[in-house]
Amino acid sequence: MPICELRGVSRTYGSGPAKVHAVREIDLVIEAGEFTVFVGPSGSGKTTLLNMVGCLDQPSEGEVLIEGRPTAGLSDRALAHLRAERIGFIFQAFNLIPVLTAVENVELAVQLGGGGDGRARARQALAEVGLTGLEGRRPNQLSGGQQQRVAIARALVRKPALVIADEPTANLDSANGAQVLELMRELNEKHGTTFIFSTHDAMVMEHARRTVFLHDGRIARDEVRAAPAPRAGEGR
Amino acid sequence: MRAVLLAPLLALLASLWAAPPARAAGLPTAEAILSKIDANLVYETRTATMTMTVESGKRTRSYSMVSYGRGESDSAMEYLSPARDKGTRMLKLGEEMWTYLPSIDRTQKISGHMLRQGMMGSDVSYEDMLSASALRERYDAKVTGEDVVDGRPVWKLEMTARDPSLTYPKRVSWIDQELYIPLKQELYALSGMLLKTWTMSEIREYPGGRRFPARMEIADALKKGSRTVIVFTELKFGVDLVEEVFSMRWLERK
Amino acid sequence: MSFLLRLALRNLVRNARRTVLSTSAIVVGVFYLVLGQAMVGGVEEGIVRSAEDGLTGHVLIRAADYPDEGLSHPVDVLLDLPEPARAVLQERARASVPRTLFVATLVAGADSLRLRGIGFDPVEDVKVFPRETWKVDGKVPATAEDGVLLGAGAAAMLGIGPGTRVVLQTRTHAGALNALEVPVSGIVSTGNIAIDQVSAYVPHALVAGLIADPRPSHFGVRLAHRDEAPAVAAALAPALGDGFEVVTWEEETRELLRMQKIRRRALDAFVGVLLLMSSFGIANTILMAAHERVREIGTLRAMGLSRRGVLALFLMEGGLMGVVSGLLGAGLGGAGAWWFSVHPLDLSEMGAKGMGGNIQFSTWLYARFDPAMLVAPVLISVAVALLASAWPARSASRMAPAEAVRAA
Repeated sequence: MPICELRGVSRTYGSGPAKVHAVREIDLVIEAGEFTVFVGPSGSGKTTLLNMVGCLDQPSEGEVLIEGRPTAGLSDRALAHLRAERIGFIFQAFNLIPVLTAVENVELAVQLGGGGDGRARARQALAEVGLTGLEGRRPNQLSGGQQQRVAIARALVRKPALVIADEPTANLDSANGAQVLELMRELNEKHGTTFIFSTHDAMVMEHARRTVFLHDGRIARDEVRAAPAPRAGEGR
Repeated sequence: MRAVLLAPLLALLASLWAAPPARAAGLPTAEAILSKIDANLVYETRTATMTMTVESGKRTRSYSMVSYGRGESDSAMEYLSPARDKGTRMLKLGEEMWTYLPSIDRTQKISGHMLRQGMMGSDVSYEDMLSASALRERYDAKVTGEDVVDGRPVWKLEMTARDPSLTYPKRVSWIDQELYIPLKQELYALSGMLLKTWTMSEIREYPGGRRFPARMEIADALKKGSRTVIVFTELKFGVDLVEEVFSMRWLERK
Repeated sequence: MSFLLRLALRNLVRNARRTVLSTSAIVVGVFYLVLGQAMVGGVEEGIVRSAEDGLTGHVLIRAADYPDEGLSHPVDVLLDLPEPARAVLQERARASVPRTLFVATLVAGADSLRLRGIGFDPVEDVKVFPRETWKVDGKVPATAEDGVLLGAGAAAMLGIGPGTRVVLQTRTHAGALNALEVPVSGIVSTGNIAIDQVSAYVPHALVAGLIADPRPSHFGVRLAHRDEAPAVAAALAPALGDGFEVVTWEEETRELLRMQKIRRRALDAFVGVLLLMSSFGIANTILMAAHERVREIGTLRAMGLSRRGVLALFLMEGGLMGVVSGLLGAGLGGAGAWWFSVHPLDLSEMGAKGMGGNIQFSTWLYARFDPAMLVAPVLISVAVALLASAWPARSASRMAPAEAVRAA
């Protein structure tokens, strides 16, 4: 069963002459364990598409199915719960809660999903991203790379089926970016978590096993790589 | 022989026993004195212009007024000075009394207990000025002797209230033997403390043989330095007074 | 929910200065509300106590149609208490004492003053009319020879002190004038203007001589509790029959207490305005917070917080502001109220002039301190804060997550 399926999905904003077709009649299937990237120029609809896959936004037309279940008609509460349980998010600007420490930021994800044992699980997640010892620090006391790793821990602590990453390396230097990307790759291989990225970063594109090119709201090209890309930092 | 000795003794005994009320040997009865006083002081009608000076230890205030009297019960009075009180009028008909204040154009009825207080803060109250005949009715009067007041020979009259409700349980008067005017009166409280002393002087003669004082002085015996002096500058008796004066219309006229 | 609370608290602390500023109006409002209520309550209690301890007691028996106003105390009707009434008093009253009120002129040298004479029983009177607030210079007279206890205001007007010999002039029961020379045994400040300015306590034996009648004009009654007054008054009326009237402390103080209601309303209005102002401050703060934390809101939504959850978060922040500022205001106000309940304000300068001799009013204002009265103001401030935050919180919850996460 595919993790996510889009059928005839369109998203329009505004009305009348100012109407914007961000995404037009897109059909897309994403299988479990994918490491897929959405690529395209600004205005191509990749952000919108990502939002819909992540159930942050609802389509104007068409259907979105997560793990075979349609999301249409779900209440705000049900969607929120779905996101909490099954979908993790990683953002370009890290989006950590500034008043919470690293461990608290990760713990929040557990708490929002109604889970128990948040503190222990958060520590473990931080350990997995190599941040043991930095649990008590607030985001403004962490470097960009560290912050993103906290964000990754947060996205993954509940072991979601799907992780949405919107330009996760855009605010990082290449070294950190490579590290973060490698981390995500490891986690993808280790846990089988599906990763969907949007990016401008060529390095990210290179590591993706599937690339969906978008243009003007439609899928222009959908390439699946036969063999896995070389590890980040190798063979450059 | 025995009759000669007994007779004076008997006469003496008789005089002691059968002492007629209020008469000591040679003195007139209280009745007689009081009715002669009334002939002088009581009138059917009277108009008077007078000044009243009220001293109260700290300050002295002077008023002048014109008054109209009818019998013992009715009187009307208007203040002529000082400017602040000019035009203030009072009307007394029997037991009821009203005052009119021109500055606020208002008539106010004076209640019973106010009748007992001094007029305009003076030491004279309306009750004080009861006529002699009224006194005769309400008091047991007795002539107790003779004395001299202001150089004039007087009879001393002691009066005890018959009714416990009378304001002054005891009054003592000194009456001029010739003029039949009470030159001095002392008004006492139930305990025997002297409350007021009232003197009359400058006795004048008026048509019909009437005598009347041109000056009266009432001194408060309890409050030091408190005294009221009334001087009559003009007095007319038996005047035909217009009925109108003793009416609300006169009181409130502008 | 508790994690939201932590988040709310952290956010409030993060902007401590702004939080303080926007809640300061609540703190001030609640402070005034608590302190004001305590003062008004104190004035009310003072009014009631003045009547109870001064001239009325819990219940007062007097002649029918007794004059109600001014310095008017006729002694032409004196009381013989019928047996049934005595029985009622025996059964239901803690104590009852006779009193004779009369009008006298007190002459001291060249000055005189019209006074209310309070004829009292030197032994029993204190059982109905306590003397806790009394300050006596000299002594309270026990016999006729001791003389009179003069109110401090009256004594000051006459310029006399204990030991001075004065003359008391009055009317007897029948209506004649009577006067006696007596010493001033002492000067008293009771704190009650109606007494201090125009009254003198006269031992019963002395009054009986002055008015030439041993009977009293009033009976003052003290009960186990003031709330019993209406019932006891109702029981006394038929037992007394015609010719008497019964007055309770409540009837005596009704007019003055009515004035107090106006004061209370003014206080409430003032506080209401303050709280309204504060609600604007809080609404603004929450609104600003929401706009500053758009990205945070979006992220929380992405992470699984529902719209209701966002609403709850911001309401919590507002509510916490209300709780803290309410507690602070109530705490400060309560401390002030407690202080003034122990150290009264001296109002003798204020109320004394021109209040007339009949209004029973205490010159010392004790605030009424009651911990229970701190609760409502705190609840009010929480309610105000929540109401103020409602709309901004709602607008925060309605932000579209997709845009929010990408905000600057």
